[in-house]
Amino acid sequence: MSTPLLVLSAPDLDAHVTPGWHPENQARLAAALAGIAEAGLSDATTWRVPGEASLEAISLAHDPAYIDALRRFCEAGGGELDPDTVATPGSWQTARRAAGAVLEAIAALEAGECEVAFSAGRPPGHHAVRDQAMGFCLINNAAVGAAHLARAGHKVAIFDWDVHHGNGTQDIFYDDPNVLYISTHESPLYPGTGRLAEMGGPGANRTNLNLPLPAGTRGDVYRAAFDEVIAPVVSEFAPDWMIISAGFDGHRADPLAGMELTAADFADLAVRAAGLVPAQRTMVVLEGGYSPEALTMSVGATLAALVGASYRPEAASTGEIGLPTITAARQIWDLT
Amino acid sequence: MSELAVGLNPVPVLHGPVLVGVDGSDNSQRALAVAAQLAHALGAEVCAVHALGLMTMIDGHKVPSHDHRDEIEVLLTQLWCAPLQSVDGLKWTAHLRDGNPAEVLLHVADEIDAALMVVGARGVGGNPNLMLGSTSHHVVHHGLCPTVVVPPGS
Repeated sequence: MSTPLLVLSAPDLDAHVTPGWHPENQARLAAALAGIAEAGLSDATTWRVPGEASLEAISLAHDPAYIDALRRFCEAGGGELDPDTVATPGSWQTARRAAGAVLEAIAALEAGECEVAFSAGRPPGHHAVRDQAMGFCLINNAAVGAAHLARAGHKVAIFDWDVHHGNGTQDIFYDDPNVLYISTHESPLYPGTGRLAEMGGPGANRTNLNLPLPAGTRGDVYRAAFDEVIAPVVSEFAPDWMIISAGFDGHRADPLAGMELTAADFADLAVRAAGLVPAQRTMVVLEGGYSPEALTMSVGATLAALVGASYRPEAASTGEIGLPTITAARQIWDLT
Repeated sequence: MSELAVGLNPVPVLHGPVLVGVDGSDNSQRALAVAAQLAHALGAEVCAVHALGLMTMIDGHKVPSHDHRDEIEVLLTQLWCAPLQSVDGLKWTAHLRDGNPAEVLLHVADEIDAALMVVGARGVGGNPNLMLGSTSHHVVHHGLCPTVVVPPGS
């Protein structure tokens, strides 16, 4: 029998121990998972502890030399990989488990075991490129899942609503005609990538959609961006899978960025995204989000919306900031 | 940066700005001093770039960069690059860019057609395991212009 919501997470095995100053810390996972009970979804949820992704699976998205270097770096005690990104001895297994959660989510959906899957691992993944860790990310979890699906002949849409552009995911799939990468992100902001004109490499044209939005953008413009730009682009691509790269750092309470989204705004986007693919083909993969309270509310609202429940602890937001991005995107993508 | 044909192998002609990565650390200040000397000798400009990450160091504490952008710009132009003002006749510019240090340096080097890139070494003692994440290691292996890596002071 299919469960409405399958959650793949292993907070008790989380050994990616970041320094005290670091906003990407173990408390994030607890805050995110608390949203499930907060939203009244406990009875609709099945929990599963995921295993670690195999090196073969990870190598679909990363260079084997990088994977080996990351393993050796962690085994040697870890340290700083860039001014933002740290690894500790336990990071290797924890990061592999986060990628494994995505692969097991795919397997469970394919087997009809759940309607929607939430892969809640850490560290996040969307900044990690093929051969480099960056921006708190070690292994690109969503990319490992999408690459696995693409290899099996599927067409995959990745909707990345994290407030930061997912430069790693874009890079990995820029020339892949079977993976559509969509990003809504604050600009200017780290990592300084994600321009509107980047639409995919040769042979993969119209498979990369960037919507750089100004600080202060609210839910009404996100919804309009989805309805007027993202939905037609996704429909043209016709994916059979939807991976939501769900960073909740676009929330108005997040300390790392300046967007003005609320929990209800994420819920509205999730329902729209899931509506573009068949049933049992949508998964939510946790990316960023650094306000514990915002994480709890936003995860709860997102998952509730996806299983047809109602949990909107904050009203949807409006503000009209960012509309020029939609106009420009419609022109560049020739959307009438 | 243009090229000079020597036999079958073109070599770079050192024409264009000298790019240097700065972050206020002792290592990057040493790199800045070397960049100033090289630029002076070549009659070139210095282009100093700071890559703004997700977090930044302010008063000895790591804090979200998002809230401190203006403060970091002041640090870059008025404090970290201050030594450039004392070099007679040296022209220089300073730029704040979002991103990972190695990726930002490679991008700007291409954008300004840099003659040279100068970076401070992290001082990892040659342990190959610790080369992962090293900015100098990454730009040396991925950059197209000659790169000077300045070792840490004793």
